[in-house]
Amino acid sequence: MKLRSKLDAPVHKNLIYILPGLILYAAFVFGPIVSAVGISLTDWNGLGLPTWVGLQNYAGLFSDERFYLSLKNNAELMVFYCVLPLGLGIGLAAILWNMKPREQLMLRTMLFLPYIMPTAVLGIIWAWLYNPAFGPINQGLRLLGLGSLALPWLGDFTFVLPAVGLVATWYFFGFCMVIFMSGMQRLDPNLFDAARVDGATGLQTFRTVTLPLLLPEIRVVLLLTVIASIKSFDLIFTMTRGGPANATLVPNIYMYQLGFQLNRFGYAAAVAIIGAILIFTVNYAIHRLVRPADEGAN
Amino acid sequence: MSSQLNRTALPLRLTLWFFGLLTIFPFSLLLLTSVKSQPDLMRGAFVLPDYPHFENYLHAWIDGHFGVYFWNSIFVVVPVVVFSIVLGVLLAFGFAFLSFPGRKALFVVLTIGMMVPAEAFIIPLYYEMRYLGLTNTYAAVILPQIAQSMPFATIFLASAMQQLPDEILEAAILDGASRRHILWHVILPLMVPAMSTLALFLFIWTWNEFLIPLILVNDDAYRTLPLGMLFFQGRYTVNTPVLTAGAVIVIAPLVLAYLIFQRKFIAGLTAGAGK
Amino acid sequence: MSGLQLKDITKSFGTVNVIKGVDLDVKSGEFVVFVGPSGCGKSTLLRMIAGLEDITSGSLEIGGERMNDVDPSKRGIAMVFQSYALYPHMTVRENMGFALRFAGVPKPEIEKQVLDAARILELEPLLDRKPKALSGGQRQRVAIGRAIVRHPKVFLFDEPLSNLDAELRVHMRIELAKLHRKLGATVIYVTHDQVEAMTLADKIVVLRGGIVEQVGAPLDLYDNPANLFVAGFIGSPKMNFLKGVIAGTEAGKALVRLPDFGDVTVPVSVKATGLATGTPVTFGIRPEHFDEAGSASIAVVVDILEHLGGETLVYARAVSGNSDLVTISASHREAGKSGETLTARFSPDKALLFDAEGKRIY
Ligand SMILES: Nc1ncnc2c1ncn2[C@@H]1O[C@H](COP(=O)(O)OP(=O)(O)O)[C@@H](O)[C@H]1O
Ligand SMILES: [Mg+2]
Repeated sequence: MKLRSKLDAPVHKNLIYILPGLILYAAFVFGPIVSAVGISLTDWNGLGLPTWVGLQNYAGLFSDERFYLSLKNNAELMVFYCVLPLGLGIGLAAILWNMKPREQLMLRTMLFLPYIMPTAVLGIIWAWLYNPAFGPINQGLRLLGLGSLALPWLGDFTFVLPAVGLVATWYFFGFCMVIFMSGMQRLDPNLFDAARVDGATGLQTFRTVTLPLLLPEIRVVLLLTVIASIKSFDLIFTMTRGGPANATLVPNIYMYQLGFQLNRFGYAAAVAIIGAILIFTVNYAIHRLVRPADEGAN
Repeated sequence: MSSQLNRTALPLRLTLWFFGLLTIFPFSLLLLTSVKSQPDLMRGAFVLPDYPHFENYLHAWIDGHFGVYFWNSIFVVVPVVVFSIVLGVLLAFGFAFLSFPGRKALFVVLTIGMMVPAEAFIIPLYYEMRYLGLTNTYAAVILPQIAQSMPFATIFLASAMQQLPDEILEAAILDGASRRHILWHVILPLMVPAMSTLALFLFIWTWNEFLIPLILVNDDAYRTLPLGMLFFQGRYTVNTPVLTAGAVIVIAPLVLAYLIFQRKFIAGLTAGAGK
Repeated sequence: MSGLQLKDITKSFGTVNVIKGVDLDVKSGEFVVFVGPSGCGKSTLLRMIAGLEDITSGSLEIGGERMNDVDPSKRGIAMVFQSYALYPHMTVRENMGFALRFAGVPKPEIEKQVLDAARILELEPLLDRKPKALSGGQRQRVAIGRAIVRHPKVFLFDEPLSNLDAELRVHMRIELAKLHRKLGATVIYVTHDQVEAMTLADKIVVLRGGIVEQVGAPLDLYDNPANLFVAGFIGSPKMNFLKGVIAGTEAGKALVRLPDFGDVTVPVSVKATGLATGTPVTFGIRPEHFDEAGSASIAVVVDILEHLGGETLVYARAVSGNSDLVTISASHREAGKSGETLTARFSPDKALLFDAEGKRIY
């Protein structure tokens, strides 16, 4: 590009622009990432010198039942982090889209609110809401005469995972809806007129026109929520710390326990690296599998 | 399209309002509880207090150290936002218009940092901070967060710079303006909308950050609000009114910023979604 | 095939009246063009016929059947949109067959219909492409194909050519005219371009501000505009309007004095009687009606010349200097020079008179 060459200068003059940011980035992000890979190849208690163990930590993970459990929990959480918010978001967006602008704005403002909040604080708030004895949820259930449903949500092996998961759903679905709304605004409104003239019902239009054309937004939402679920730490840390009895243990909580409680830093780093690899894999897979539907055939 | 407006069937509208109320219900309850006394609370979660107990906020602010946490959050957020934008502008200018060796590779290295969560490298970061003697300082929380925002800030600003109309830059070049002059007096003024959107994002992310202060700071004097809230909960398990007052202190600035800049925020958030 | 009746149709968006009572009769097989400046309600009226907008009051009949509350897909209409509105994720084949899918037509029959339409529009080689891989003109044809496949009683077009470049627009205009002849279907076509209206229409409906100004065959509107608006809108370059005053009447003629042009008096044929002397009127004369053999003339000073090759447009003012620009179409190139004084002759038979309200004085 001509323009670029006009603004360009010899390398040593260009470096002034990029070095400050890059040095900071290298020192506090990229360096630590590389070191994390290094540490994951060692056995280290955080005090003495790390001892090189090669891939032994990773091999250990293969036969670590707690690690498998954390992955299984994470997979189950994805239903709440990704599937439910996506489904709810797209459905609600389709409804909201046809509403009056004022009502639309009010609802959008409300539904989006959780997404700007710190998940750690939301975790604490929801832990209070879920409190078995004095939590508002159980109080409400008792008021409605559903006292038998007033379970110790976060202390129950069966219900703790959905209970935590639903907070994530609550956190994400409004965000998903807003993304889908903006996707619908991107589409030519005449498409929906055309579908009406063509005799498609509302539901048929949604299935055959709206949904396929929202694939780019579906991809973005999937990417963000799947990655968020793999990264999940704050919410679970503040609500259950992975308990009870590891019922909500996820890789990042496991990493925290291994590292900062058991001082098994090498092994903890291996867990963290696996998490990062998972994120890259998922990212790649979603980019490959979910493609915009209007790409020209032929 | 217009004829479909206002035609949404009532059950569908009610569904939407149900979800809308569901989202704000916890926040309403939070506000309500934050002005109750302990005895008020004993009478039931949904019972209104006789009069609002605003002293809960005073308790949270002083006894609960939320005042300290609040100022810590400010002391952390302001430099993170300012330096991230300054360094981000420089980096973005570099990646958008300048040549240097390894440009493509460096860009890939930057994007890696955007995908890898802090959880993955928090262990080495912790030891690095200890080695540098920075644990339990503001720097321990500020520096990594500036570094972490570099990828997003760079990509966001670089793409905004590349979208500037070529004619404007060409005109400046033809006028014989120096490079630094073009950056500061031509590009930067045009970047104000992008930078303010970025500032809004960075403010919210930094305000909400939990892991970095959790690991890198354990002196109460340096804790930011989300951390403070966690430790407050640990200290006074059952003082719910003061806890909820604290929560309101944490989220009020966010809600305020959101309500004022909602349009900007959502536009920024959804800009890239269609691509 | 079938006709269309609009009876006192109105439309309001909230408190804003956009269509203010339209009556219209469209005969079976007729090509009707709605023309008017942008914002006058053409699209709204078309969308009401299509069923995409509710009809606030009045009645709409297609083929003798009241359609006010009938679903768009059941009205026997097909619509072609300005943006084409092709489904971007479907191939041409799927786009064209989409409506039939919901009409419960069996697959092989859909395929046959699509192929038939594709043959008419020469779209066969493109059937497996998606809209992104088509040129503007091809997309346009697919949009038309999608309409044809449904065998509608009435085709509705909303500014279908306005996204094409000038050359393609002319080409598609001719294609559309041919297609209409081939299919013999009723067509309602919206445009803001009076050339499209003149070339395509059997009947033009001139709309302004939600009101029908005049309905008629293209040349009728050209020769006999009912008012100043239609006179100015139809024909290019625009008709000249000169200030005039009635100076008297004589057998079937009104003597019109043109105060800006040295009070020259022009006898204009009118049927109306009883035009009072001194009545202000607007005197209309088309640029192409200036003609050296004419018996009347005005003296003008040439301002600018535009040589179009075949004709030359002369823009001139009254010698007094205080008239609007007068456009004169001359057939030879030496029509004058800038600054030169010119005697512009015309035949008074071609001139039209309008009263102070802009209504034609016949
Ligand atoms: N959904 C709507 N709500 C309010 N006003 C509208 C709506 N649609 C069109 N209008 C108004 O109706 C008038 C006619 O619009 P339209 O039929 O699109 O004009 P045209 O197609 O002749 O350019 C315009 O003034 C426009 O602003
Ligand atoms: Mg229109």
